[in-house]
Amino acid sequence: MQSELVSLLPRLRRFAVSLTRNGPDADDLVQEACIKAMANAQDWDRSQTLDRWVFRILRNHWISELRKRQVRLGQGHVDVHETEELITTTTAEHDLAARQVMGRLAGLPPAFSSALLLVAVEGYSYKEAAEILGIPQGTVMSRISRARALLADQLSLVGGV
Amino acid sequence: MNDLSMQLSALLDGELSTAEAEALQQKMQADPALQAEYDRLVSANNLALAEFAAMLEQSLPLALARTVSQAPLAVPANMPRAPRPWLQIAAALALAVLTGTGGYMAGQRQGAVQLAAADWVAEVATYHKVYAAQGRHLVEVPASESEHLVSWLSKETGVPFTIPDLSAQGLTFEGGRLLVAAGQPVGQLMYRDASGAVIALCFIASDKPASETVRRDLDGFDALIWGKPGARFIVIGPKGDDRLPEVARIGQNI
Repeated sequence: MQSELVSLLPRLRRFAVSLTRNGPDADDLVQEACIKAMANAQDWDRSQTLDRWVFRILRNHWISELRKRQVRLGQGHVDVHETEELITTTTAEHDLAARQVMGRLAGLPPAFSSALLLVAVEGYSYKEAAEILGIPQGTVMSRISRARALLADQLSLVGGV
Repeated sequence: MNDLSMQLSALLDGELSTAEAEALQQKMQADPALQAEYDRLVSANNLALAEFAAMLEQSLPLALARTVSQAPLAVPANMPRAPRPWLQIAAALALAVLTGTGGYMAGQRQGAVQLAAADWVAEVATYHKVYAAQGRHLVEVPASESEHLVSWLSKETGVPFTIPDLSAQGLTFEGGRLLVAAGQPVGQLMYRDASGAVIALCFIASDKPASETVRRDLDGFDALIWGKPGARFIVIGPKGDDRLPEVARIGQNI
């Protein structure tokens, strides 16, 4: 499993960036997820691919981290479905960090870019992506559609259409 | 955002049933605005694919790769596990490829990946077992960049060399890569014949090179090992390959 995980690192980091929108958080997240996966290797259901299992670990760890941050900021416990929406970019510094690691995808909310990545790039079905992200299948469908619409608007603006 | 837009996006993802997809395609044929909206989504999707692909090109932090490659695996309490140097080597090997260990080592030689075994010859054999099976990814630097390869590997290994021409032996030079064995950088030049058999010539800096050539059976491969001032060399290839002595003879003059 260890060598497989090392081989997966670039893809895991890309998924982490789609959630965190910055390199340092993504690196920490990938590291924690991999260590957790190795520590719980016996829990890996071999009927599913390693990447699918680790993507899910990674996403769950990030949600947990977001919750901790919100509590530290004095905002109390937050529902899991609202949590991902909490780190929408709010400062120029965050914008810049996101653009450096995500290019033109930086304009997408993380909940949108992560869903789009899993389906359009990683090739997961809506059902599989929903399982990884811990959200309803219909929400995956909606987020991907909205992500593409936002990117299409961005292209229209650039193209002056 | 409306239901129709979501349907178009789902069509793009192949998530509609055959009947739903056909019905939507018929609607698009009859409605240029709908077709235009679909085309917009396709363009947006292409943009996303390109940007996500670019994200894979970002360099992977070496600290992250090392942590993952060296972290302990869980062992079930009732199932004692023997040391598995093969996995450690495979992980370190993947790490070296992913992070471009060569560049890192140029500045921080002491930080080179440390492998479990001290015998660089055995480790080279392990690398060969992995890489000789690679079709498209046989080498890190292709033969078309031979000049760069010589400059890079000479600098990283501290071993000056030239790339031998083995075409008379039916071997085509494919390129090379940097390995790490016994904590030291190793240069690896890869050759392949028409049947796909791979022979590698590897070298490592050494203060105490052996002068005579010895033959060894290594993990299912045949290898010839020799030294010259400042370096040790190995030619490794398929068991029983009668080209190996000639390749070693030529390799003694690189």
